[in-house]
Amino acid sequence: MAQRSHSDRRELIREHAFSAAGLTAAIALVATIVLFFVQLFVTSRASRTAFGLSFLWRSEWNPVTEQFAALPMVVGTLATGFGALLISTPFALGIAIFLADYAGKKVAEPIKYLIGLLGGLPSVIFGLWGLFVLVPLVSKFEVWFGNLVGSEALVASGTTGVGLLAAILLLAIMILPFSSSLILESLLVVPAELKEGALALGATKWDTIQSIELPYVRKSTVGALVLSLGRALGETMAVTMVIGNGMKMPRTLFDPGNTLASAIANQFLEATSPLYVASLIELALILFVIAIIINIAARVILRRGVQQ
Amino acid sequence: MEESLIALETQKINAWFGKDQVLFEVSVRIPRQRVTAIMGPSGCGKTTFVRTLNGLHLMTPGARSSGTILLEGVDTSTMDVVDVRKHIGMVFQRPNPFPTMTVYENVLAGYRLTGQRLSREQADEIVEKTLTKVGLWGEVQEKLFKAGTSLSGGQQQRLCIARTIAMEPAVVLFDEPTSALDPKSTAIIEDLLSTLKADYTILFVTHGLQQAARISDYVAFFMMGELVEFGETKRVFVGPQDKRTEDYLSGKYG
Repeated sequence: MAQRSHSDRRELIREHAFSAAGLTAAIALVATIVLFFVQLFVTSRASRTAFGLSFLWRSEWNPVTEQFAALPMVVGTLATGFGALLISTPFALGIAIFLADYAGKKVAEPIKYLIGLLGGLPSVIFGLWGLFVLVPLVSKFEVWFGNLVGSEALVASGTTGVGLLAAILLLAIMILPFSSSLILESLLVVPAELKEGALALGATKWDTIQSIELPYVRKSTVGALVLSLGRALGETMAVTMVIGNGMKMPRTLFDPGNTLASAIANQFLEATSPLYVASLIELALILFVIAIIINIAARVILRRGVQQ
Repeated sequence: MEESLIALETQKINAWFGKDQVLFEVSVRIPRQRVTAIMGPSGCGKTTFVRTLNGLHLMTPGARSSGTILLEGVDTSTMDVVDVRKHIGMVFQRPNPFPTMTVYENVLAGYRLTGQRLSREQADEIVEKTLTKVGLWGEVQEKLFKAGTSLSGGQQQRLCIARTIAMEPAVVLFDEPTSALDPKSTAIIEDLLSTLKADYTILFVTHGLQQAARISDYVAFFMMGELVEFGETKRVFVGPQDKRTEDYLSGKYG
């Protein structure tokens, strides 16, 4: 009896120790995020005191006169992110539906593998491909489009091809593996008995997809798309390589622009004055907040999707 | 039996999953507006048999079948499978109302899924008539616009029956529809069959001997993928002609 209570106590101590260790790790993780925020907040102080909230809506960025503001980059970030999402969503849905309901296992498995591979490719490779393949195509399109609408400015600028449009197209391709595999996962868990129920009523496969499967995965699909958007907004390397790094407010999709992430990556090494550095850090702070909002939104949507 | 009394006839049905043959030369004539119980031990092919009738068997990857199915004398292989399923409805083992649809929408799901438009009045009429037929109208009248999945298990299954008969099929396949239900809900559905058979030809898969005896006019006894015996329920239960049927009835197999 005594023996047993002894081993019980040891068991208890071990359990306490384990849960304490786990708790510490969890706290450390949360603390890291909070400290990130605090660090960004503190080190961007010079910029915040110099420009205040107007940093968010003014659009001049001039290191020589030490005037800094974030609007062009915020616009660039949101335009490329949402643009990419808009273009890639129909393809993501198409791929997911095809793999879930039309391709047999023999076709679907290798394609799924390739999608995973594509998703794991380092973004600098996408960037290089974008620079050497996508940008020249965009440039041709820009000249063609300029001639079509009779804009000499477009025809002239079309010689470069770098700009928001190139970034949008490249991002659309980059988030496609991510969004399509997330949508595919949710399509695959639609209960077979619901699909059979629909088929047994005389529905075709397409009827079933449209009226049963897609409504069933609606929320998780929106969640998947929001997560993909988060990816697009934070993508740095590939975007930097094709977006043109213009610090002026872009007026058309063909204009060179910048995202928050690419501006930081591009300019941090050349930033010499404390105010310049602080302004770049404030860009990071804005990106941090946008990323957190997007992620929370996605979690909320996904959780509701599960409860359904 | 006279020809005109036969709603559905199968001739030499074989079915396979990959290399495994699960049905062997099943030929049977199902009487119109009667309840025919499809009975037999687990794995005897009774579910596969009813799933070949509406072509659902072929939806399983690697599944094949052969043989002829005559629906009211017409070879179903000459019909579009979608039309076959409109004439041969099916109720599944577990209640499967569509979770994204209300009770009302679930009853009309077949119309919506097949793109048939209904006027408001037609829709209302079908919903009330069909739910009344399955004895659900009084119970769910106030819940018509709540999710179909918010009903109790037994109500959900009756909703699925309503969804099926709303399409006015000639034949309704029931694949062990009460195996996931409590005894009371089971009794309600069993009672329902005796009124439904006035309008529909019913095939009812069950592994329960008692249930088969209670509800059916005819039984088809399956074993190891073969149709062992077919006949009027009373006759089969009282005087089985095949040794295997007799053994099963006396409890020699699970």
